[in-house]
Amino acid sequence: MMESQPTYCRITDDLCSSNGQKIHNTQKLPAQQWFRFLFDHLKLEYPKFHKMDGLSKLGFLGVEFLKTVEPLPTETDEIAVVFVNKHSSLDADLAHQEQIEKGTASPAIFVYTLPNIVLGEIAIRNKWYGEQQFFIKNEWPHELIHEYIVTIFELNKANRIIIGYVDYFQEKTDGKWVILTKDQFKNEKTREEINTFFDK
Amino acid sequence: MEALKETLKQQIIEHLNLEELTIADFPDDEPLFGENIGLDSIDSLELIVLLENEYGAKLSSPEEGKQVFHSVNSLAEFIASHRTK
Repeated sequence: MMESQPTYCRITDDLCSSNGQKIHNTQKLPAQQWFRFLFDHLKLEYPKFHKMDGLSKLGFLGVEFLKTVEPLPTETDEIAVVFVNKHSSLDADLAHQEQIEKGTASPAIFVYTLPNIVLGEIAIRNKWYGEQQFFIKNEWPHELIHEYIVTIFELNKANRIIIGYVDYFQEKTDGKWVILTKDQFKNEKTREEINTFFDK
Repeated sequence: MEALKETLKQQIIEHLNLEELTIADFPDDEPLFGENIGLDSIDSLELIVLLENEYGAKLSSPEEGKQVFHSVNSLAEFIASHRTK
């Protein structure tokens, strides 16, 4: 019997690809307009998206594109989400600082001055009550993520894990996601593929 | 007052990033925090900032906010009577 393969998604400044389906940013849209273009492409009705900062929009879109390939249940604690990035919420932090220097902080900007807010946005959208973690690292932390996945599956905290690198800073977009099951994770070749995917 | 309401609706859309709404989606007496417009608690804080920055109008207490933020009508009335700029 053929084993199922994990679902992948990649979003950069120029491209959004999800298991072979590719959308190119042919108009070279700036990040916010590019995110809006992808949101419209998905034909979603979710007004809260427009209030999010760049990091949350990116994380939200990555998961939504995964769902187009692999439909996922809502109202469950069986999906864990672990994200990593390099720039934390620095983009929102600087926007917040700029507002303060102008005289009045904006509550709508301030609420995004933590990187893990993106996980909350995804959890709210999907009603996912399971494990969530956000790590800030300069390089992809292979061992840390491996141990995290092993722990989640061994303790039966989830039956699927969405792993993502979600980085957005000063118009630079770098997002990678994969969703995998316990069975898929047991396959050494799959684990190698995932390592390669996040190393690129 | 009608011009103020129109300006206010546009400012709410811009300040609160309500990109999918237009001025036509804001009936003057519709509850802003009801199902149709659907503002949330962060939006109410943004409204406070908007009133202060654009009109120099300050709420005297959180309780007053409930009444003032009820609709575009109540917001416009508050601005008209409290604005300092």
